[in-house]
Amino acid sequence: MPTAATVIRPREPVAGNLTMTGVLRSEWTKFRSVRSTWWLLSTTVILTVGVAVFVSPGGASGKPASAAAFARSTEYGSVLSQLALLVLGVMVFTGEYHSGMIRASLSVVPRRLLLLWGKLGAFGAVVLALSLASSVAAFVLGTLVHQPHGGRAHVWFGDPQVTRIVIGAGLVLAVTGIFGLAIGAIIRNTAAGLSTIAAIFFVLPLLLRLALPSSDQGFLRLMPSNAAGALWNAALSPTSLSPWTGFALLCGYTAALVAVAAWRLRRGDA
Amino acid sequence: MTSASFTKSTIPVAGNLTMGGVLRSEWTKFRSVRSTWWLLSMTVILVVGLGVILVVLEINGGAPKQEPPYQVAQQIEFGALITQLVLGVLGILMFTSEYGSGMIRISVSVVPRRLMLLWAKLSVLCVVVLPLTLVSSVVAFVLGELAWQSHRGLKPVGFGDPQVTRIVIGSALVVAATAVCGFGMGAIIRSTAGSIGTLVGIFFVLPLVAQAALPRGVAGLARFLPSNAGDALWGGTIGPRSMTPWSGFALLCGYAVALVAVAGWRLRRGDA
Repeated sequence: MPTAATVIRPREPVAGNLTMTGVLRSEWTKFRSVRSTWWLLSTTVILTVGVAVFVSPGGASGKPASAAAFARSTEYGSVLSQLALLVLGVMVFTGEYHSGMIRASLSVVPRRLLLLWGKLGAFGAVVLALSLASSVAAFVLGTLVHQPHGGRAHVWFGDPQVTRIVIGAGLVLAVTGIFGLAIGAIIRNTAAGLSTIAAIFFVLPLLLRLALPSSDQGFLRLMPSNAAGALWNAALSPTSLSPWTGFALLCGYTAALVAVAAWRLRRGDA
Repeated sequence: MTSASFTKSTIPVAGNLTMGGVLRSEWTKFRSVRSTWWLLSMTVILVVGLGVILVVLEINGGAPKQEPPYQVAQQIEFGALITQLVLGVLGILMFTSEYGSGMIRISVSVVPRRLMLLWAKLSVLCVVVLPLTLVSSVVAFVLGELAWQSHRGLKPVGFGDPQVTRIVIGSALVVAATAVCGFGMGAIIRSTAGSIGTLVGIFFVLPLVAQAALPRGVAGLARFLPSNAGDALWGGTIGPRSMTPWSGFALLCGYAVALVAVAGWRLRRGDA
């Protein structure tokens, strides 16, 4: 080829300006460009809001005992969508380990904690907004569907318990997603991470509740899912922590797992 | 290179696709993966370990003297709840791990009769899982019974007591049937994460949500959920009503057969 090769200078320098914004932007692109993200996010919304239409406010007993019980019944769907967000959270890291993408990610973002914060930021922001929006929507829809027939006093946000339960269910949902992200970053394998979480969140609390003699059940209130349930009056344990203590404990577990994930990401091979 | 020497392979490569050969290859795939051994040993540890721990806690925890033998057997076999998860995941991975790695394209190229692949995988899973769950739940019961009888003042419990044999054998059968349900789901959904999420949602979360949230008129429907139906065989159903033991187990088997049938249809008709 006789013509001179034209050198195209990149408009932005490639290395040396690794910014948090850039990492966040790239993580957001990865997050939104995968089909499973949209599947799981829409599942979350559909389950959270949809179940509110079908549940009976008061469950098997027929009539809700209080405004708080009514609010709680509209949020039952969030237990199912918890599972969807756990799956989504786990796959934030395990998806990259499975495909080998993690090696590209770490080459481009050699400051590994930056990558963790980027993923956590992109995932956390989307999940928090979505969880709160769907828990509020579930409650609003639940009141629209179930209130006219009851002839009871109108349950609405003014009641401090109701507000705590509705917002709390959303908060718990979001933190659960981050719990899943941290487990995924530690275990690095989708099947193993998901089974671990399913065991911790759903199977063990149930099994121990059914099988342990009642004198040994006191510690069940400290399990992550029961601590989470405390915030919106849905703990499965015979005794329950006070709402915000329970939520603080869930956040504590999550923070500890994120710290372990950070340590493992920084110190170990990818 | 002046001459090329041809070695005639002793076994013809194509044309004699036998079930024996496919079974052998599936067995190799199954046993040469680390996760298989993880999940199988977890099963034994959980069934036997939980059985003994739970019965010891029960003895120390209260007034177990008037407990009928069948309750003691249930207490010992509660581990079945969590091994449903463990072996359900094993069943799921039979197909999803091949879809995840791309191995499935090689498998169906080598075994173009796709249903043969399905039957071989299913047989390997069942032949391993069924004896394993049976042996571990019998061992759990024998050890739990020893712990029970070593405690003075408690009525001895044995296989001869009413319902005990059904509970011990039944808890193992339910776990094996759940593994087959997982196998079907994995073959249909083809994604590990999606299948595990679905399995956990249907088997563990739905019964809880149904119990808490279903209106009174339809609350009884929860007994037809797969885990509730199967667990009726050993008494682990969650909810106000339970099916009779063997009809519940039959329903769980029905779900498993239906899932495998859909999987077979999808494997035969669709792209891999």
